[in-house]
Amino acid sequence: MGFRQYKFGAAGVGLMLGFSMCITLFGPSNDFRSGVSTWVGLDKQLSLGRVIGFSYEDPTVSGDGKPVTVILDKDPKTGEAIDPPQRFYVYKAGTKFSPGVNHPELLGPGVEDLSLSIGKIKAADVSSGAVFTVSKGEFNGEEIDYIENVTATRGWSPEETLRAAGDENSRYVGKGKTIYISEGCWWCHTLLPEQTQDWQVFGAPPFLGDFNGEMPTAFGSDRKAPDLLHVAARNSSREWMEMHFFNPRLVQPNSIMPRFDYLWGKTDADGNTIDYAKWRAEYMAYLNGESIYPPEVPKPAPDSEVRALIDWILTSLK
Amino acid sequence: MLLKYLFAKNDEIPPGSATIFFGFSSIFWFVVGTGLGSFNAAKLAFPDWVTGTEMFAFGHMRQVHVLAVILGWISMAFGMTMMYMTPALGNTKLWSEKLGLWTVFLWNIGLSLGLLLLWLGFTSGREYNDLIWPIDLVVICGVLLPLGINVWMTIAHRKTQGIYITNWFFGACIFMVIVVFVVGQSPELFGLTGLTEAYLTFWFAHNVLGLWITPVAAAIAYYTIPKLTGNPLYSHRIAHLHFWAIIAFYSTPASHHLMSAPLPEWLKSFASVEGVLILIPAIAFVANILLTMKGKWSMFVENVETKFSITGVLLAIPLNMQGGFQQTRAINWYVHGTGWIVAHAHLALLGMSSFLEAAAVYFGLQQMLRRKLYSLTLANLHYWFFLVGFCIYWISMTIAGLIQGAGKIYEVPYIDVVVAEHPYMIARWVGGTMVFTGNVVWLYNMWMTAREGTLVPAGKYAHELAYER
Amino acid sequence: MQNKLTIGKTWAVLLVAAFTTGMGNGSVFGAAVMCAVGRGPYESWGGWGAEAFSPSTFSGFIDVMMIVFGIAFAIIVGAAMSKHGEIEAQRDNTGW
Repeated sequence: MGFRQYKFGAAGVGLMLGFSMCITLFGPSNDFRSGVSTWVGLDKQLSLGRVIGFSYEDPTVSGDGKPVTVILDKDPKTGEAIDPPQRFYVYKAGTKFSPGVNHPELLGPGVEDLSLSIGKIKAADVSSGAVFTVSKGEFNGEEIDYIENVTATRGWSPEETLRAAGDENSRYVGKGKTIYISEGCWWCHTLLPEQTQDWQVFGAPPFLGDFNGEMPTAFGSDRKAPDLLHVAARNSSREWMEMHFFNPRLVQPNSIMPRFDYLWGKTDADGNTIDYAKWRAEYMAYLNGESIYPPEVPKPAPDSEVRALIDWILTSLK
Repeated sequence: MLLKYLFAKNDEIPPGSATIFFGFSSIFWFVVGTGLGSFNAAKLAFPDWVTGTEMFAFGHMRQVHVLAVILGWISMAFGMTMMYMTPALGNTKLWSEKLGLWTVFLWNIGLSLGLLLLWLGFTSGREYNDLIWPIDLVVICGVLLPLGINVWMTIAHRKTQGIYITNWFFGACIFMVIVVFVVGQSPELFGLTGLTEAYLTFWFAHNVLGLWITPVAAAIAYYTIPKLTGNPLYSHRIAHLHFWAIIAFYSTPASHHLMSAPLPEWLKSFASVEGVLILIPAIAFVANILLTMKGKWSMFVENVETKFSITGVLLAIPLNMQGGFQQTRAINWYVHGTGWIVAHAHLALLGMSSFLEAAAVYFGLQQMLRRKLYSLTLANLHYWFFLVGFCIYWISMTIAGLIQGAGKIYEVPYIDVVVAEHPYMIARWVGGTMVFTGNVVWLYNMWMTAREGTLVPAGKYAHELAYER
Repeated sequence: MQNKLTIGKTWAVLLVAAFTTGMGNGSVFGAAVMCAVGRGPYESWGGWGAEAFSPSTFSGFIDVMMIVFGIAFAIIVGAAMSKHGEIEAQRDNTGW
């Protein structure tokens, strides 16, 4: 017997681990593959781009190289009205496409077929950029959503789409979620209402097809603060969000959320330098009862991080 | 010292060098990790404490605390114990002292770099797997693989016929943690997305805890308790029941971390059942160790290493009772995502695991330095700060979790839960700070041991000598 | 030799280590029972102060169970250890 029993033992460890990996990794992968992308799933992956965390195109996790979501009420090419206004996802030249465009099999049966045949997503080219949208089509008698490459089907170029939208109709959703990840918001907030009475407070839990192509999903596991998956449905005020991020105690005296005033950067919307020391001194005076009103929260600059973060919240978390 | 040995011939490096460097690095990271924990807890209790700078924002520091403790303290303490237990149990020398020193060197460099980048916000955004994938590759190739090679080769070159249970655990767990790390990186390396990514994140998180942190800690106790008491292990057979039950059952329940996500129902049910089966290895382990203490229970109050070790074993009882049952659907419904889970995680890492490792680091460093512990008073001070601090933390977070769970089920406005939790957040900060203080004392005590501890004569164990201070 | 494990010598470890161990077991027991039998009305969700320990509430019941189990476990371990101490004193602590 001697040494042989240890060979059996070592083989046993390998076999058992391999068996458990078969059950826990290969087993569910079949279920995951059958998930048909919902509108939420398609909107998410198109507005977020390839990957949100650390990547080649954005090594510092600051939101570079992400697509821009624009909301248009008329066709930039023909001038025809779009009613109701629709979301378009602008990938400028060089911006990496979302996983579903590169690997349509991730979209799920049906969505994949329509996106390839009617949506022409394979015609998109990273070097010249593309504009996408989510359209409705029919597959096997059922209405489903699919990705449409508007650059191929309607001839829109990324530049003219962005120009037509202007800053006021642009939502920096991809950059916003990047800030959510890099600032660690997800250590306290979850994006997963639980299958409990949570439904009635935080809204419906997500469906199987709501995540196709999203990376990272950042569900969060430790809830020190409310769930945010549908927060914009509860509160859609941009002004409230700005005050709350600058100093949460302005709108909720008992909040334990950190201040995120540093996301404003150096200057405000008018290009004036933000004097944080002065603001804090005035805020302390307000806390001590020396002044009646707290100081005004500066308007964030269009390219500031907090603007992108609020864009993401108000656009995606409904 | 370390640099001198990195390029020395293997035979010229004194045996035990790798253990000593590993040991001091692990204590250092323990101080850093618990210090960060205490700082973070203060921010939860007093949100305006140190505010307005990106570097000191809670979201930038929380993950640094977690990884400094897991990869710095716990895993390095494992490395340290492997460096001295594996050869001792094989009645041989460590296969390569030089490789061990290179491992500890690369580990410290890689971890410092990884944590610094993480602190700056370079993250993959995946819990427990937050390090960006280049750093993860450093962890796999520069840390786990060399550690594994050293342990496997030492076991292969053993001069004993059998392999003791501790070495079974060491060899198998390093193999499994390497597999888990590689699979855990696949979302980043191969661009897996969506639910697959979410599931793999927690597959990784669960298996790092279940196949690395808790079983290796238990394996350490299988060495320290018989060594300290002089009793043989009660039953090697029961220990093997523990070993095989861990591998068979505890490599599967990953999805019980995602009970409320839209994962396949069969997977959740399967994970839940397998999760309850943790009680088999857990009871085997606890019973085996406590029966080994037969006739030497007085050491529990008289010998500081035994005190640490047995406390860790006792804490394994509630750990596995909670762990086995809180992941069933009924209880998970109530406690998921609350402070209860935070308390449970600390019961595993700071309670059970850290106490067992602290005992092994105390014991191993004295053995390898051939010096008696500098001060018993300081060691007892460490023990009590550690234990009382941990208990304050655990109890306050469990109760806070129950309040949070009640708030969830009764649909209380969330801010009322935050208000109700406030006193427990302060208690949490007090407990965490006590643990940190205890660890500072420990680092000082160990440093003084290395410099001024009484020399242990050959053929004696350090714990057999009387204290002089 | 004298008994080295009387309650006078072990109370400190019992109070902390054994009590916490019992509390951990009590927490899951309480949670399991409460999940099985149900909960009280909304007003008694147990948000503040002594309310939290009201045995009629979900969290209150579990808190009480934790304390009961903690005391019980400390007593069990304490009794067992003093018994061990007696036996070890007889055997002169030379091991078995």
